[in-house]
Amino acid sequence: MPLPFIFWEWRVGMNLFTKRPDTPKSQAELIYDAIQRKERQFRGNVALSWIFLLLFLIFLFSGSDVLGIQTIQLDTEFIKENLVFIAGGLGETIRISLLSIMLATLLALLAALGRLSTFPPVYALSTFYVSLIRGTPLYLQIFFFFLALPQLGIILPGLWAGVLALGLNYGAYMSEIFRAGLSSVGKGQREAAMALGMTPGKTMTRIVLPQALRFAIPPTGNEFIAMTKDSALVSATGFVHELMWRATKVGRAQFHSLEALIMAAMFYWVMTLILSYLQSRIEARLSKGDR
Amino acid sequence: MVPIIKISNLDKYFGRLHVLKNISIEVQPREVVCIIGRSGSGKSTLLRCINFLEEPSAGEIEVDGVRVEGGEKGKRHRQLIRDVRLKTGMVFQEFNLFPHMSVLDNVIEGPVTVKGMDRAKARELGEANLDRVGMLFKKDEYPNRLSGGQKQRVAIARALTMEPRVMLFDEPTSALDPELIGEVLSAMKKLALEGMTMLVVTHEMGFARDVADRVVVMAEGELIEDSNPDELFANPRDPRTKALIDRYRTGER
Repeated sequence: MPLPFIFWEWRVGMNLFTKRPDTPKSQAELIYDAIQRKERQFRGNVALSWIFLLLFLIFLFSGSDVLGIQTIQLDTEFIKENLVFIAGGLGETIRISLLSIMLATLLALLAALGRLSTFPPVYALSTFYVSLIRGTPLYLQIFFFFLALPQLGIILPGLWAGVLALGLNYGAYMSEIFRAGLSSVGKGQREAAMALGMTPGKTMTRIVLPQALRFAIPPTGNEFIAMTKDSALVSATGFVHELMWRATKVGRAQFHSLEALIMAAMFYWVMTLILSYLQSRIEARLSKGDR
Repeated sequence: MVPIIKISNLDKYFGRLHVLKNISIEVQPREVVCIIGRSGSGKSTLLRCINFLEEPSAGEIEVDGVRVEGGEKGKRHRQLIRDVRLKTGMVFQEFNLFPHMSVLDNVIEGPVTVKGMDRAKARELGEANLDRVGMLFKKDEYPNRLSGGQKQRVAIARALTMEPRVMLFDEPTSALDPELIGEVLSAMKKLALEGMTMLVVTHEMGFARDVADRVVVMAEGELIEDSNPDELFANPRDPRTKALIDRYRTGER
């Protein structure tokens, strides 16, 4: 359970306290309260366990000597010296992820629409793209853009090569999300639009796409979170100085990869926690609406 | 009188299945025609052929002077189909309201995007039509907050706001809980009294008997009977019509 969720739970709990009326409660209300209490208890215990696990993890790397067990000693001096350098990769990680997800979303939408086409070349292009990308490793695709293209005289700036590789890859996978989104809009919606006299284009942009996109937003959020982590693969090429690249650079140079990788891991973890929280907020807002 | 709908020699195949067999029928302006028949008799397909939600395999459809040949293709054909759709309003069994739009936005979507009507004017017209079906008080709600009967009344208002010459109803009460059928039928009855030309595919024998000017009976893709309701319900000529009426009588819906 991510931490922000625990805070949310605490807030709901407070609301329940302040709203308690003075009038005696009915049987149903009492049962409802009991269920609520049980659920709150469960969540509370989960939160406590989380804190315990977190403390245990910290203890594991604290370098203290308890009951004859020596835990792992991290070089705090190294951490202090390189914190700013590694954190400096955050911006690049976020930038490459944002640009890639935008490219991926565009490609995924086009590929999904292509799958709906009755024009064979368009349908073929869409399935060909998805098949080719999903049939090869992401790691290979990244190196293809960094190492294979220069052989042909095409030298892309590091960031753009990374964005192209990640965007193309995620676009192929995400096309399934958009395809599901488009097919979640019933045939009746299209018929109602056509009966009003809408052209196929207007039917798509006014009626089908808005509903399909709403359906696709939560899974797209998941893909974005996954992408922030997969962006680390781009570091292997050495041209994009994001989190992972910086961590491996200083770690290897000073033989302190343990500290450097733990620091990078913490940054990724916190980033995904924040993103997961934002995504759960968006999801809650969407489900409140009007499906 | 010049008929407002004229269907001539209409044929429709689904693959090898011959669902409409050489249908010809005319509807006069202000007439209310109910189409009844067992499920699978082709009555919904006939209705959906009129605004080309189903493309007829052969034959001809004429709505208010716009004539379209079935089974054709091309740009001109598509334009004619859109012209026909502008003259017909359609109400579906499953309502098919747009869930991402408020009630009022549902109603003005057609006039604004299809006819290019000014939003303020469309809103005025939309509110008037929502009022006509008694749904103005829910204009800012989203469809998922409405009951089935309310949804169907909004769907009627949506079709009306396109100011069609003819209204097509495809089993408008079949998806409703029994206690919600009445409000939809009375909205339709009001519309009939106002002089709207209506074609209604329905299982509601009461509505057919009380409101329709003509009742058409279909069986196995053919028109087997076409007369005024009093005569049809008193002396059904075809044994299949008699069976249909008897079944609903004993069921007494």
